[in-house]
Amino acid sequence: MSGEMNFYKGYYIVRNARENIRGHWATHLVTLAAVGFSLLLFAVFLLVLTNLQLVANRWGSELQITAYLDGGVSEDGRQGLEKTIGGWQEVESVSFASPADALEALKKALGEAAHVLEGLPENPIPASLEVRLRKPARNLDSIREVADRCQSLKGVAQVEYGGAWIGRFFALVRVLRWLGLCLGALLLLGTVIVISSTLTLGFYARRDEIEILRLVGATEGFLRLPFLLEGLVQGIGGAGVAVALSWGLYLFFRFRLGESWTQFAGWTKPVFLSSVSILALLLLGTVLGIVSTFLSFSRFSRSAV
Amino acid sequence: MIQFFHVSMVYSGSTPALRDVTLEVPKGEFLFVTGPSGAGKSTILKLILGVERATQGQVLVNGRNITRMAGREMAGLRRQIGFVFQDFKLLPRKTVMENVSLALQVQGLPPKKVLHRAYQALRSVGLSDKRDEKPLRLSGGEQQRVAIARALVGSPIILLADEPTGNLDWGLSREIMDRFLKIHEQGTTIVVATHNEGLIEYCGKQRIVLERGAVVAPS
Repeated sequence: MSGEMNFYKGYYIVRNARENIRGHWATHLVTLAAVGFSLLLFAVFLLVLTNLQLVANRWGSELQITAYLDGGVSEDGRQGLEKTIGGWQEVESVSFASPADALEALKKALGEAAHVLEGLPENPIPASLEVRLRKPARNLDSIREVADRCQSLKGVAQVEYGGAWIGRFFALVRVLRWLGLCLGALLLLGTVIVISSTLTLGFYARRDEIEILRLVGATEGFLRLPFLLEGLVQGIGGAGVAVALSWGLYLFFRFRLGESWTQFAGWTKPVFLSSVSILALLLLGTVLGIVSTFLSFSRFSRSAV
Repeated sequence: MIQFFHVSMVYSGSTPALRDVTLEVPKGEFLFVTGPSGAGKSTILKLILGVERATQGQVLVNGRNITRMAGREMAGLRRQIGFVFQDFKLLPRKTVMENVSLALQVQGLPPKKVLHRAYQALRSVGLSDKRDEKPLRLSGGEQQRVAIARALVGSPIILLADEPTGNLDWGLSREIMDRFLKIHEQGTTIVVATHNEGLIEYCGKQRIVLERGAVVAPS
């Protein structure tokens, strides 16, 4: 019997929530839109950050160290250096690039501008060792450390790895991530306030009903849960709107600015939020809805019967 | 059934609403609480319902101490108490049937059962044909009868009424008291707060008299 009673109490709770939403649909719609746009800003930031992080990771993974050799290094000396560097735990592979190989590679990279190299009296590019790191070591700190070690080896004239610009890019991504967190926290606070305000208006509009329900013996759960459901609808609905709108923005970006992105990132298309990120956004909306309801109802209950 | 032990009630910053009240309402009793305006009649009912908490003393209802009760336990007790207020306390946006059904929904009864019992309750007060009306379309007497139907639909063991005939003419007042007497015959404990001496005489039941928060009669 108790189980059946609880089932029907649940039925009335859901029905009350549905009637409340239907009866105040305009207010709920406005709140849903406000929540949606707040979370949209968050979603767009997440989207940008996701793609920038992927770019950074990809560039990081393509990074290799070029150790230019002294002109006087013998064949044995070169092989010795290859063996030494190849033996380091961070290093995946070491390959030798002769001056001729390096010149050909440069001509290919320059493309139509390669003719500028034709006037050179001799090949200025020294022999080099291309050092590729293992995946776990493909980060700026490890690259720097290995590069410094290479530089300290006898026979190595100069070491390059594009450290300056890649370091700035990684720093930019880190800054954006922190900005995102701060912005996200502010947006979430704003969203809680928006949902709380709507629910509080709802409480006061239904103050008489809540009082009567208390007097006829409704438990706090019976009173609170319909509002919790309303808060959930607003939170999840808002998150859904944010995901949908960010999908629209993503498609727009892909089709209108895809070429510019390819030039920047070297890919054919940017990526949308992962399933995990989408679920996280929906979960965030859920949590916002629940928290807002509790805050509003607790504040309201203190003045009630 | 209902016991007050040296109960005092002071609303913040005002004179005491009740002063050292001790009384007992046995099970199945019909009691009038009477006295002039401001004597503390409504306060007695509010304390029994748990709407207010005594500043001092203990209030026991059905053996349970209300002063220490909270949350789920209080809700459970209130489901056993029906109440009728002078201002009816009906929800204007809900129909008569929906107003009466509230008391059953909180108990978790199935919808069909709720409708059936609510209909029976309205039939017992002669308002089954008005079940789809909104309360404001009814007369004062009809609204009061809806409030009585809501109070009784849950088959309460205690019925509390605060000036239930305050807005009604003598004919309707007698009608309502007749219903109360009929309910009382079925074993319900009834406490009615009123200053209407005519009603008290008509019913011929026990009474206590309050004056400035204290029981002055019976001495």
